[in-house]
Amino acid sequence: MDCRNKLINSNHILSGLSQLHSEEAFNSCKNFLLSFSQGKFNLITYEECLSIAQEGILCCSTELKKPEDVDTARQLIVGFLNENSSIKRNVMHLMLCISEASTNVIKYAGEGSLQIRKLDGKVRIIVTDRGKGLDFDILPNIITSKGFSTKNSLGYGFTIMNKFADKIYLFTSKTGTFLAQDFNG
Amino acid sequence: MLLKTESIIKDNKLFVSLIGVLDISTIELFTNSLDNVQNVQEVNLDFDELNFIDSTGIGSLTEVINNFRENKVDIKIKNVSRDIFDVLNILGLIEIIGTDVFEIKKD
Repeated sequence: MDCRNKLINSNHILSGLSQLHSEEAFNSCKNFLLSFSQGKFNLITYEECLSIAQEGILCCSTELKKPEDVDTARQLIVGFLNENSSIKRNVMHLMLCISEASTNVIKYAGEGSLQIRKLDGKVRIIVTDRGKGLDFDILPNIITSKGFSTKNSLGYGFTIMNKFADKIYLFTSKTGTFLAQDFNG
Repeated sequence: MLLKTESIIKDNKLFVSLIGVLDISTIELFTNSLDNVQNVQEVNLDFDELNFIDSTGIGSLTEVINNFRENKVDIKIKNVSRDIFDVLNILGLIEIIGTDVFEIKKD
């Protein structure tokens, strides 16, 4: 698939998101997630989100509207890795992380979009949606979920992403969610 | 179509081959293919041509396994690739369901 034919620019992908949480709740949640993930999982501000969304080069993107779009998203990363042989990552692991992030968008927000960006020596996968966002009260439970030993289905995807991504950036508010996963080459 | 299933019944055993991917777009087809299964004592799922499964697919697989077990039907899953087995393991399914259900694909 030639992913360059389907570009969505960074400004569009972020429209509608805004910062609504209190600073205290944000900092408390951020510190817990950072500590639990040993620095991997970063809860970020809207300003940080704007910066992270525009770093590197946008290589391909797609809309996420229906279940079949999850496979389209997976094929984009296969195409990206074929074109960027310097990034030597397990294809299945990246397909899984894309699948989990994209499925969460369709399951919990209805629709959104996905971007693959190339940074110096790494790849960044970004999904955004305009759903109701993730509540800070349940975020720690989602991230600490032990897969199918819990009842929290949203946590299954995060278990996988947390396993394979090198860095995760999450911005969430009542007007939408932004999730970026970095994979070093 | 991202998933195709092929089923045969022989000696009260149901054999189902999964060809394609098991994700949010195919779980309904997967569960439908196992609905209305009657008078079988054992179900064998063949993952030889299952190229991909994610946590949504694994969730569906878990439900199927539990439903058969509630009805006293044995279930076995064979030709599981190492990649897929690793994902099942990360999500705790191997521990919950038991290793004896799964047979790893030989290289």
